Amino acid sequence: MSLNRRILATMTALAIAAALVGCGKGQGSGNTVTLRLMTGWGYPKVKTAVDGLIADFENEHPRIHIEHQALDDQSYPAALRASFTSGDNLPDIYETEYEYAGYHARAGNAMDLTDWVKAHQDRFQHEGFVDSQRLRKSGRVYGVPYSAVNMTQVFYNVDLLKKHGISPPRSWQEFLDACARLKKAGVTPIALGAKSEFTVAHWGDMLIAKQAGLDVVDKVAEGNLPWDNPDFARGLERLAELRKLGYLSPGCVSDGYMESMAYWISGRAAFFHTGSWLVAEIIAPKSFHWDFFAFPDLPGGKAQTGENVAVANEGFQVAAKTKHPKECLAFIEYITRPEVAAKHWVAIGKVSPIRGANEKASAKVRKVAELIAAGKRTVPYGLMRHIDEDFPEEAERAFAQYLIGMLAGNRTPRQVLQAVDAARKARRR
Amino acid sequence: MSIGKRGTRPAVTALGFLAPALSLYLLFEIVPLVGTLAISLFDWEGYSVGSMRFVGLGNYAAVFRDPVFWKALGHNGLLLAGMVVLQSGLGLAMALLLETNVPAGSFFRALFFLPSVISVIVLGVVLSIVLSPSFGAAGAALDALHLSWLKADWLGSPQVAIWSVMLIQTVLGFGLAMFLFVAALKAIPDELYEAALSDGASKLRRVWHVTLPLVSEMAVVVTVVACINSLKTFGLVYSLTRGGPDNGTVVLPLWAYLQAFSYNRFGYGCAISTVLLALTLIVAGLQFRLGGYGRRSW
Repeated sequence: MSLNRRILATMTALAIAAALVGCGKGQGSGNTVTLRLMTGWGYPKVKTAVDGLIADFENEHPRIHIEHQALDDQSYPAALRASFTSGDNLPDIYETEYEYAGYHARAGNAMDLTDWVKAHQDRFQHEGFVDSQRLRKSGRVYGVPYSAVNMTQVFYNVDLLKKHGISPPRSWQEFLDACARLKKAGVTPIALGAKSEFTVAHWGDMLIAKQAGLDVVDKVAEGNLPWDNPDFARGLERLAELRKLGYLSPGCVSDGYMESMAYWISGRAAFFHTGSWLVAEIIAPKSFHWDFFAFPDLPGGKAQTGENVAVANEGFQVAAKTKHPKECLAFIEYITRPEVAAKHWVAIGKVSPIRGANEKASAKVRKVAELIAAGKRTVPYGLMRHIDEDFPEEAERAFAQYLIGMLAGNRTPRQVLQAVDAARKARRR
Repeated sequence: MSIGKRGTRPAVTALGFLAPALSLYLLFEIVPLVGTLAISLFDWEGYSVGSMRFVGLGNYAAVFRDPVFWKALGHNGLLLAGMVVLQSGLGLAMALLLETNVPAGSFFRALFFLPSVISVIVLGVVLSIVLSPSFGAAGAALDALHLSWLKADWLGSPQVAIWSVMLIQTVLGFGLAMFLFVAALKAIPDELYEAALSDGASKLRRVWHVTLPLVSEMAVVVTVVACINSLKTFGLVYSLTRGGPDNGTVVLPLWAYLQAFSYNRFGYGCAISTVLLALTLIVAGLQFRLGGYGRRSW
């Protein structure tokens, strides 16, 4: 054998040995099992919280090691999808927002957790949160919820309202009166940035849910009522009226979420409607005092007391192909304990869907949790997505774009609903 | 035999030099292109390979039935016309002007070219804030100039927004056209102008009979680049309007992106991309052919 061949053979043997050592580490060496956790929680505050949670879990389960890959939330959904389509770096457990949970379930990526969730049902505040991980048609559950988000609040500038002698509105009429008074005083009542689409869709969701009530929403979802029914249209008319009366910020059509929030925080607008994530995420000077009130009921609205628009927006799924299902479920069991969620999750401003986890939270988080808990029956925001489970993104985006068209004076509320219906029917074909 | 060997050696050498670039081109251009064509024949949400369903040309049939596709195509056509006429025209005019020894010509050349080297996403985000009717500087500037009647939500009207995008694209992009025309102008031999001058040609006639014919080949390049850029428009529209309001500025690359990455319709998004590719090839081919590019010699 020539010298070159010997060197080549030695290098090949070393490479194979190194590869085997690498494989051993990934699969669990000795008695230790390594689980791969993939999340979109690369934001330092959140990553630190999850890493703390993992450290505590590993202390309790010394045989299980968690390898946490935290990506930034923007690139995470695509990276996770790429893992599943390529088969490389497959996670054992992964975080998934409720928008994507159904897709992973349908694609066979997620393990069916129906039995586990049933056995631990009492851990979750209510069924609505578990629904965020359930495929409505089959009724099977493919994940556990971990963060709760409420849509039924309106944020306001405390000092601005005080300055104009306005109390936080408790009814739609009081809300309109407050808007009228603010406008007269030269203050923009409501900051809205529809360019970001979800912002205007959330307004649409709330007004439809409040006007039509969840019974009507369910009937539309089941195909027993048309999309362009009078209740849905009346709900959207409320938004068109706010625009017509000049209560929305001048750039409501062309501004985005961040611009509209900056407009509100800079004191130029009094009200701002968005999800309760803002409680944890708001970046404002200390001199800016804010609070929120429950989204007012609408006169003649069919929503029953206790109907809510909220969702468990973040959750965990277990990969269907994991080689360590028992260990994965041990992790899921651990993180859904109230004391664990309280220590690692609620402490960073997140609202937990886990019963008893929010009790020692900050005042504002508790207030959100109370609003959520008051909801006896819940539908998720992204109402169009909820109604059309087969083509959720298409229905949602069409809804937002056509609502923007309504704000721009291009469509009536009925035309918005007809166009959304047409878009999803075209997709079905 | 020996002749053949001598003949193949340069080819092999050339191939050796080309190989690195060629392999990168194959890997990053041709493979994705073939992949796009292949995926366009499937209905696929992109969450697992096992869920791919072959639909043949079904996605293409759906593309041509899609009203938003036609709307996007119309917007691309409008931007294309705008970029070819306005961007190339303005680029040529500025190049001619700045080549006549105007004061601070180099400064203006650099100034006009600057947007071409800045990320369009950054420019789009900044401009959308500047133009915001809520707190944009544009409104305040118009007020200060007593031109308040010009204030409007330029990006917030479904009828006006696409024209605003076209204008912004023209202003941001004409610097590149100007740069290319300046290069062509500098290559024209002075003797030709001197000969025209001695024949008594006026300034206008010198431009018409000497300058324009000699920059016509560059004009083909400029318009082809403008066409391709207009058909590829994505970053600017995404950052300025995200295709809104009411799909009022949606363009084909954005629609393909939304379909694939927002609606999880990878096959459909790839079909739109393939149609866009075909359109780009047709338009570019026609321009080269009609412009007589490469067939002229001086």
